[in-house]
Amino acid sequence: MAMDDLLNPRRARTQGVTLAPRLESLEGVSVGLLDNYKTNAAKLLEFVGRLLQERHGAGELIPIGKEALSKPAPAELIAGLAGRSRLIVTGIGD
Amino acid sequence: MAAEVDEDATLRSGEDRAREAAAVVEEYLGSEVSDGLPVLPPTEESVSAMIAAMGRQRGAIIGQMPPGNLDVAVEHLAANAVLAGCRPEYGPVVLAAVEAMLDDRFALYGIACSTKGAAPLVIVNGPIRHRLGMKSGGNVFGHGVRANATIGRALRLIIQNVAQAVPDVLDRATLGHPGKYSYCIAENEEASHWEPLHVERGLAAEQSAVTVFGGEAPHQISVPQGGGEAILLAMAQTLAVAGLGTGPGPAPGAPHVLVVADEHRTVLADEGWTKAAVRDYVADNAVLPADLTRRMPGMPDHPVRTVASPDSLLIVAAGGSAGRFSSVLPGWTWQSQPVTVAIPDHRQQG
Repeated sequence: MAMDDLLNPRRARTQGVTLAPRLESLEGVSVGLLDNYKTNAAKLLEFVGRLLQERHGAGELIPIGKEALSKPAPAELIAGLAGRSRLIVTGIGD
Repeated sequence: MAAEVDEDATLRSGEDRAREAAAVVEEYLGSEVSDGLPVLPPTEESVSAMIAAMGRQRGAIIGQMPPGNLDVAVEHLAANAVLAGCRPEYGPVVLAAVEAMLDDRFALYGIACSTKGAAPLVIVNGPIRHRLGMKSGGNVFGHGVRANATIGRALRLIIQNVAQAVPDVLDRATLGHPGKYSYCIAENEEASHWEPLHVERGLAAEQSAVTVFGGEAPHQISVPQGGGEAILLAMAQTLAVAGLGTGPGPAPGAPHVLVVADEHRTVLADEGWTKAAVRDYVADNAVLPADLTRRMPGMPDHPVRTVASPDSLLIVAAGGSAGRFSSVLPGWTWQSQPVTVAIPDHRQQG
């Protein structure tokens, strides 16, 4: 392995990330709102959810929160949310 | 006739070597793997020596380091340790510290990326401190010796280059602090009347160990006169005010480190202060008064206790023998807890 790859393993990374297929319409689509518990995150996500309903006919809004700010959402929480919604909105940052 | 030394040739040779070395260092300084300071360019030989000292086989996967979550092999850690300027014998400390950071309780993701800008403090205990010539006395937080400086720096380069927490990309610290260059101390066990940190945390005195703690920069306190209560009150109030403005009240369970230097420790020892008594006093007195809290948005109109439990306070004996100073290191948040890991002595194997 080249020294550059030893210092930064990202250089040698070959596997990419597969993006989920994009929905053609949000009509009636249930929307998961994943809250990272930062201040005002829930309000912002709720606002985004309502806009999706008003402007794009989205269906049920499903708010759910992570356990901790700094840790990724547990796999079972993601799986549960994915099972109940076809679109998930989240955000990072303060 | 004795052979004449061509002094000019010697000088030119030295200049040439320095020029060549400087060119390589400049190249690394301009690359993505630098932290803004000159590095020691690694070679296959130096990386192999570091891997051997770490006691692992090349290719051994240590884990996935957030935020990048790539598979991290021992050679990635070894290369960055060399880059930081570590000697091979520092390798086991670096590896143990990485393993400690990978413990879920440490929450490396938050420590590495948070806007609050914490840095992992490495606290080293046990015989390895002396073998490596680590600093635990004066200038313990810097500057001084190669071991402290480069072990701490190795962790930062690993977090940046291997874990992918690149400043202002995934590491979004608003301010950061100087500990993000290097943050490594040893405990002055021999000068302390208290049990060493690693023994308190379950290891044998003769074991070498590393404790990682995600924290702010040291907040120094100066208490030039008075007894133990004056020292501890200054620590307690410094800790409390560090949390002013955090919101409804600092989240319970955040760990904090109290670094007590020699003169203050002598006062506390003479008055019979045990570590438990120190913890109780600091926790009970790290209270924000109502006349402060009521002036802060989101804080209640009554005194706020900022240390949820005495158990969240780690006490470390370190610092020089002259000067009535100590330090308080507020922890990042309750989401990251300190982790202690034994450092294997590979010299005894094989």
